[in-house]
Amino acid sequence: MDTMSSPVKRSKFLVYTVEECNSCHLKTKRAFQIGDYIYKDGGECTKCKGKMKIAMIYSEKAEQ
Amino acid sequence: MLGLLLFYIPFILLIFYGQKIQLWMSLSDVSRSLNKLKLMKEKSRKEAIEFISSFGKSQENISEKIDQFLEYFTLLPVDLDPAGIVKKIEHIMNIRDDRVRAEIKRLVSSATDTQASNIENLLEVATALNYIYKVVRHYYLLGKKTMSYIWVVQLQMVLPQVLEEAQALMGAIDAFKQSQPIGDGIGAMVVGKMMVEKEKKVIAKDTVMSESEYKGRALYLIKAEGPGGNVGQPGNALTRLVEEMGVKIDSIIMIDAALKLEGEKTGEIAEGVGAIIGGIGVDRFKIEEVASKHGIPLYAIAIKQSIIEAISVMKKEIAETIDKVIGIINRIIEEKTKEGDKIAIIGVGNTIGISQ
Repeated sequence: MDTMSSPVKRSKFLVYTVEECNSCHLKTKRAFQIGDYIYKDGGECTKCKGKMKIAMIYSEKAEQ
Repeated sequence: MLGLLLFYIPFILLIFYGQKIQLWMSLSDVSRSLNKLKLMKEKSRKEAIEFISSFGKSQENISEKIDQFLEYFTLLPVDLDPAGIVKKIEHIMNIRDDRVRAEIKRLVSSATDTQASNIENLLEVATALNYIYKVVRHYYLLGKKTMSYIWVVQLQMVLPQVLEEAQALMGAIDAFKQSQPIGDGIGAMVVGKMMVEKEKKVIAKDTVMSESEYKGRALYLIKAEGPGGNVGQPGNALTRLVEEMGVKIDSIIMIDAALKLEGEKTGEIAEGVGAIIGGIGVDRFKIEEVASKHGIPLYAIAIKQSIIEAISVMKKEIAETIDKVIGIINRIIEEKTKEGDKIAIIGVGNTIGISQ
């Protein structure tokens, strides 16, 4: 998890999207965006320029 | 003398009117819960109207249609003679699904299949909340009319659970509107991961299958077609695979979310045997039928969660079980099957926000 931006707020929980690189398995976590779905092709890996894929979308309790 | 009278009056009142006072207190408690349910029902209706109007329809045009939709009912077949009832239930549910989809397509012709599935899920939530409100209101008014203490107290006792379920449904609205995966989809997410980059074919309505291989065993991976909000027809998929396509399946592994008991942790994984699948029972019946007819062992993996977690956006603790569950699937394959075996792996659950 090397990057993190401000997530979409939904009451006490925040929803995140985790992308994973198909080659080097680097994981990046960012705020969920409309249109995201699990196993959708993501952007380019910042480390190895490989293709990324959305591996997880989950909600996490907001830190107070 | 006056002091003595004032001392005894409350006792006399409680002796003659004690139950009536309790009844009023219970009625006022039920009334407060009923108001909460009314707010939830109205909010879900408003959310559904706003979501559908975002496809370019005016709110006035669709309000009437949505209200009709909320009152839509499904009559299950008579069970006096239960032989063959599953086929009848399946028939009724198929008619219902087809009609709902046709209505949605007519309402929002520009919606893609994924969006139509999400609208269907959203309308189901609004319909469920509308129904819960009406049933609770019915018993509240009946209790008020008959002034029956027993009637009102029974309602008061079940209301915390009813409110919890209503709140769970409210939590699902955001997920359905934004097409986010819900806790119930963990089974579909696990099998979806195993299907990535593999060829998929439609094997039953809203259900896809991929073929794969693991340590000399042929795997037949089945899940509902995502990322729209579908549960698919895994029962029909397995029946078709075994009976129509003639694939001799040696083992079936099913993965699904399961309701946890109070005290159990979210994301706990349990293993067992049997067909792990919820719903009205048609798919479970079909899977059990095929498995028992052909003597196929059924292995089940359950990922524990509460009712609220099952229909709200998937929690981190649930999503992070994925690799552990895949590890368990691999272990079951290695321990319970041999090289050359054919294994059906079924990921059960609503596949909203989960592709394959």
